[in-house]
Amino acid sequence: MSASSTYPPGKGQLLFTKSKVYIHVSSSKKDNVPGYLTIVRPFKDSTNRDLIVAFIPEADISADDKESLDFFDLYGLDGETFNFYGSSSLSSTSLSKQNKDSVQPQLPKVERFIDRPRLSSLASYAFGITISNLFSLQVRPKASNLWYGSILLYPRDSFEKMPALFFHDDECPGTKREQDLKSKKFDPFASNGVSQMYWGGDRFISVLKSYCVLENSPLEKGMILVNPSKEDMINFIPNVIDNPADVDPFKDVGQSVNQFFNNTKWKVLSSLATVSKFAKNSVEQVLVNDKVPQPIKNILKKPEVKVIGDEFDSANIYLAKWALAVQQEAEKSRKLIIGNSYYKDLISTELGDNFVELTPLEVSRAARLKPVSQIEWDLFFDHTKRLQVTVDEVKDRVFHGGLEESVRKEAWLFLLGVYPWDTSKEERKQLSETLLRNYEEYKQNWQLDLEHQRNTEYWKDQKVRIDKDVKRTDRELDIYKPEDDELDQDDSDDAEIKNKNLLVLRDILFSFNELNTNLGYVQGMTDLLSPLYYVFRDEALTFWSFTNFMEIMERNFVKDLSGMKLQMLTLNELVQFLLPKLYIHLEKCDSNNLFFFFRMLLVWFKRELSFDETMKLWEILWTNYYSSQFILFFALAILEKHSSIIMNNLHQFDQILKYMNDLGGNLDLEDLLIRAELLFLKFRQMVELIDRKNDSVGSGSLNRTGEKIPISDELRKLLSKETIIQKEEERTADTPFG
Amino acid sequence: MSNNRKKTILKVIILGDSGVGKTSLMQQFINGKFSQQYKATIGADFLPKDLTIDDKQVTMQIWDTAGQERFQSLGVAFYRGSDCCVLVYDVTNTKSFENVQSWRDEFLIQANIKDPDNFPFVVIGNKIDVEENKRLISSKKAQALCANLGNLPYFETSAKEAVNVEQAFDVVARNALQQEESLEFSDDYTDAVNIHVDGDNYGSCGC
Repeated sequence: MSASSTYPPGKGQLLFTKSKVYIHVSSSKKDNVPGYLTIVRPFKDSTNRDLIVAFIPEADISADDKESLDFFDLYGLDGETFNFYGSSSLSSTSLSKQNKDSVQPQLPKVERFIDRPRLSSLASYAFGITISNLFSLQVRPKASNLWYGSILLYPRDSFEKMPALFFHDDECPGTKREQDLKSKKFDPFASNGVSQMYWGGDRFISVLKSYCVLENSPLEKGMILVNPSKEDMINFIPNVIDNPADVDPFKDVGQSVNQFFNNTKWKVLSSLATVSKFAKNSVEQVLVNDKVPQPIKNILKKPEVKVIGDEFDSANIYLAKWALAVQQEAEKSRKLIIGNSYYKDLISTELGDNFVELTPLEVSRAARLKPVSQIEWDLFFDHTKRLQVTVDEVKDRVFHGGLEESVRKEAWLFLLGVYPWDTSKEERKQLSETLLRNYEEYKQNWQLDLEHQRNTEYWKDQKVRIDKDVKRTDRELDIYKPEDDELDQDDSDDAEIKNKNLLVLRDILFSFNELNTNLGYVQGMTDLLSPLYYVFRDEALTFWSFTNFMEIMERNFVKDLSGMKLQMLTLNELVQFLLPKLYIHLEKCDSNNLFFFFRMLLVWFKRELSFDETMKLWEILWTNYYSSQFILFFALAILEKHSSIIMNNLHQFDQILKYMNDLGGNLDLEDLLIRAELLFLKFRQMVELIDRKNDSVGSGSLNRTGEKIPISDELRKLLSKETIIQKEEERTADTPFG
Repeated sequence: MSNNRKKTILKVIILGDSGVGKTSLMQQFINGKFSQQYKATIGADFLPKDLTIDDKQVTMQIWDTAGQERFQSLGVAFYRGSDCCVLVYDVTNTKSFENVQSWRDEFLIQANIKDPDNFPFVVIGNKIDVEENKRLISSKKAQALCANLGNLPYFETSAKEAVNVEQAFDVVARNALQQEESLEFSDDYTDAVNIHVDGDNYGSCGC
């Protein structure tokens, strides 16, 4: 290989490139970003560890560089003379062995220089990483012609992930040429790679191997470690521990074994969680499980590790949480690749094969859309600002995308029924004036009636309750932040509310008390009110929106809790109906009361989701697009998503409760909405199917075995869009407070 | 592997009126933190804490519940198997003090406690950080009530300023452990009785 004495200014030497590598920014093809995956030696004296693996979008590339890259793509590695065609899905034996045996490193055959790639860019999708900072690769080889193979790069210094790189082999001249060459040399009796399809990622990995050590992790399929440290090897490659050359893997890790474990115990546990698919109940059971690699068992038998095991004893919860993180990651990337058909698979495995498949149309409609923007919202209305599309169209759009923040102020008034859909702007203006006057009346009712305020026990009780809870409502938000002099104020009950927005919340709740004397104030209502005021910042409009929202939610707050119980029971039936295996497990764990959903259902996930996510979920629910009780499908989606983790790791009531309670902040709203929608469609289809079967049987509702197929009234009501109204019983002198 | 790995779990329930500081006490004890931003508790949740009581390793599970009366009917599921119950009131709120006894009674019924006289309760008067003139329940009054309810241990705390919280929960833990151990004993004992003797003699040979 000839070498220039210096590199051209600002340029680095190209060691590898693959054209037509894409980032899939969204599920839409038109958003895909094409570019070149490259390995570049930035300076002449750079070591292999300094080499940069970079993705450069086509749009960022100068004409000169483009020529170099395209030429290198085709001829840079002179594929004819080198035996690189082994597939990258490396055998599970040690990769380093292959390294030693490999014929020759894949060095460039032509000398080309391009601008030194940037490691990050704000203006484009370009990114790069030095090999020294590359921790691992997640390789998903091309498995069929239906979708592209991909590689994910994981940096060492942060958990930040780089976008997946998809190899569009069908557009890449270099790969096509290599494929041609390969098929010419095809040896049907070759021992490796015969069944594998050759794809662009293969060549990238075989070249990368020339510059660093790559080790397969047998614990995680497709995971390849880059220049792994001893510690990484122990955690991810148990085989290394089996190697007699490394009799004591802890020997050179340092004097303090404890410290070593403090640093690595999370990884040890992580590895266990990865193994959790082998159905394990606890750390102990891992030990007796034949499928768990011996080295892991050996580690666990060490006394130091037993301590960790103890520390994590209710630790199944931690394992489960870790397993969840793993699962989420895995799903995210799978979703990128195969999109919605994944959900189809998921549901058909979840629900069994005898189930009618979702049609592709239904599945495609489950894709989430962007939130409705102000421009889009305005287009729904004509010049008098009267709706010019159908209400269903608007609701469809809101259901599938939610609203941008700026749209909420107007849109929520429609969704909550304060403004009728068929009004013009002028009519709405008049309406809001009337509403303001009406509100003032309610407000004056209690404001002026001081005698009532001072003397009625019920009123006094309500006032204390409202004051107490208003003071602890969303104080982390700017509009409800404590005033400066409030911070060191004591916590006694008569401490004044100082924040002016909280005072508005309080007045609204007092006024609501006048309007709905039977229900009054119940804990949880401040949670329902706060987002409304946050959006409207208008007392009267917030009041009327809240009143309408409470119409739907009153069933959650009635004194005997019958409305909540009924919802939990309906959800319980729904779990039996759609997730029978999980249901049986919950039953075993005394958890089929689904108590952990109480808080979530009472205030519609306000405590589990972020404030923004809460607003989005609510506007989606307000559409009643499929069902007035879509919230139950959302809850079901959470169970469905977590079912294998729950079944494999959690075995007691308190473990399950804790796990579910701690999901807050960890719910992927969009993902759950898709699942919820598909579960609803699945449910509807099942009901229709059963109804059809029942009809065809004639009078009796019989299945094959002659049993009745029951669909309770409660389940059937889930198909209705009509809001379920349940009112509090009338308050009498004997009705206790609270 | 040893069978003894399962640690003793002490289940502790915190009850009391809305806003007396149940969540704050739990957070102060477990995490040593106080926040002005706690929200009204909805439903029930627990936090575990590992403790060593006289060389014995235990995990204390502290169950925090909603204070509003109508949500209590849900709490029943969590009361079962508790080893100690903490009754909290707010020294600036008379009603919360008056309700201490009903919280205790309600708990005894709902949790199905077999030996109510010996079940460990601990009473906590919280928010003693307030100015003296806002305090409505005197120590004397509170101690009288506790004596009346069967000499219940009584503590005055400030979850906000971490006053006495540690001490109160130390007694909670010790009493809970004692309760747990006595239950283990009596369970074994009861089984033995059930095997050999008919139900008639149950309870008559406790000593």
